[in-house]
Amino acid sequence: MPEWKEEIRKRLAGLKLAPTRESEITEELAQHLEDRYQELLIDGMAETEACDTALAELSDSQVLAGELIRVERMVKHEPVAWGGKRKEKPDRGSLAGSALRTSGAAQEPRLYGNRPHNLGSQHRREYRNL
Amino acid sequence: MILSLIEDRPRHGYEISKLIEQRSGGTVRFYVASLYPLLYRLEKRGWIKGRWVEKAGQRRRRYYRLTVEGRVVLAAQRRGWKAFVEAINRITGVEHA
Repeated sequence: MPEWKEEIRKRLAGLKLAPTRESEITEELAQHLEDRYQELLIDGMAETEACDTALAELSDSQVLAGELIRVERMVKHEPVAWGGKRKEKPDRGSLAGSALRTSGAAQEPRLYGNRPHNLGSQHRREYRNL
Repeated sequence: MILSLIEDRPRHGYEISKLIEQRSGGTVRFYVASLYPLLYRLEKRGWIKGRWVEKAGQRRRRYYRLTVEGRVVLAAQRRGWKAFVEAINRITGVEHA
């Protein structure tokens, strides 16, 4: 079985997460990669190729590290009334833009991957909350 | 989107990612690098709650459930999206097509 945890730890290195938090994140992400790997094997992919394909989910490691830092610095459980102001620094599109991967043929969801200049304030919030 | 997928029952991250992929017909995919920070963000906001669950013969997994506050937010998001889609339809004249 591939060493998922080792690969993940490499990408989390330098974030200075609390050890217990880092351990939890590592375990959860490793489980995801293992699930993906097993699924690819069942689909008939060779072990090496399945391993590379699963690891590709971590290829955007700068996004992973950047977003994790941003999230971990958030104050836990900020009560946000819908339509109210949020203490969290606005993160317009930073995550939503990177979160979605669309196929080349279907461009419609890109609406939410680009900054929605022309949407009303409520929809801008929804866009961030994808 | 994620809130709606855990509305009926708790799900783990991989299950959520597969549902998004399946229901979008493969158009939308979340990778590890983006899905989990998003889940952690929703959890920090108090809209979802993660919990490790161990089942016999299986690896322990972290399941996310919708919180009471998350349900309120989801309902508001649905109203917002419905109004948005209706507005776009009126602009583009979809109902007259």
